[in-house]
Amino acid sequence: MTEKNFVSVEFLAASENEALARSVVSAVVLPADPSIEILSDIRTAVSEAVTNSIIHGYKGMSHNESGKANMILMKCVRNESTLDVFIEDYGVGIDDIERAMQPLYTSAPELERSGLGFTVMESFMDSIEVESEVGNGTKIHMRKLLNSLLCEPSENDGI
Amino acid sequence: MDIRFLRSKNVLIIKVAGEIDHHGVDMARRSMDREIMKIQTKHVIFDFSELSFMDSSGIGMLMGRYRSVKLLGGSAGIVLKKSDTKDRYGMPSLSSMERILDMSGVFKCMTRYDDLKTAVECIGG
Repeated sequence: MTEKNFVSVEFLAASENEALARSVVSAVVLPADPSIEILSDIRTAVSEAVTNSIIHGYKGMSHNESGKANMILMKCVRNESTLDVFIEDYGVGIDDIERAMQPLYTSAPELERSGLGFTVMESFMDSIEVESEVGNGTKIHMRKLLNSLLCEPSENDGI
Repeated sequence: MDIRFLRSKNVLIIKVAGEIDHHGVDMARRSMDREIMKIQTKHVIFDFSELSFMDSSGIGMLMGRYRSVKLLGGSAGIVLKKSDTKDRYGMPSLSSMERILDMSGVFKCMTRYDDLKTAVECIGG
């Protein structure tokens, strides 16, 4: 069993930081020795969430009108067999979360966005919660189970 | 993201290596559109055999290029290496990239090939 770990990073809402977010979450998960598939699922879901914050939360702007930096906060909590990722922005928020999460719905078709971001997060992670307040921002909490059920039977198996 | 263009008769091959995310996709889209207009081939093959990561930003990019190729009367194909990924239970499963492509419906418009040679033979005429 690996030790627990907790990492919190805050970065500018700039598209080059999408790769940074993926690298950070990989670094947190790797000591738990996840399968390539699980790691890849987590990296993809994190990429979607951060991209959403940049494109939709902050409308593609790394700074607001008064020149203040638009920031994204990412927290990764690794427990024995789970990873929790929290991705938070302080952008425009989502007025209708249910609609935003519908497959193929996009508020930015002109940017050639496919509307699959939330669908990917939902299907690649084991759970997702979205909290949002218009004008105040959006917070995503995603959880992924890290164990391969084949190689590491859970401790309850012997009972 | 590293993009290379190759031409084989009436097929434009767009080879994308590395990672496709929102950051690289704008530049990629512009260079692909420029090349599609310039080369004036009928068909396009996206060679993703050396792609290591793609999120849903890649879907918009693919579908947008597919529309222009379709307007010119051509068809599009996509080359993906066969994955040997397994799920939690050790059963063969699709890779993350394959699942995104699958859930987006891209394979309804573009045929998937395991290698470039087969794709060029099937699509090019």
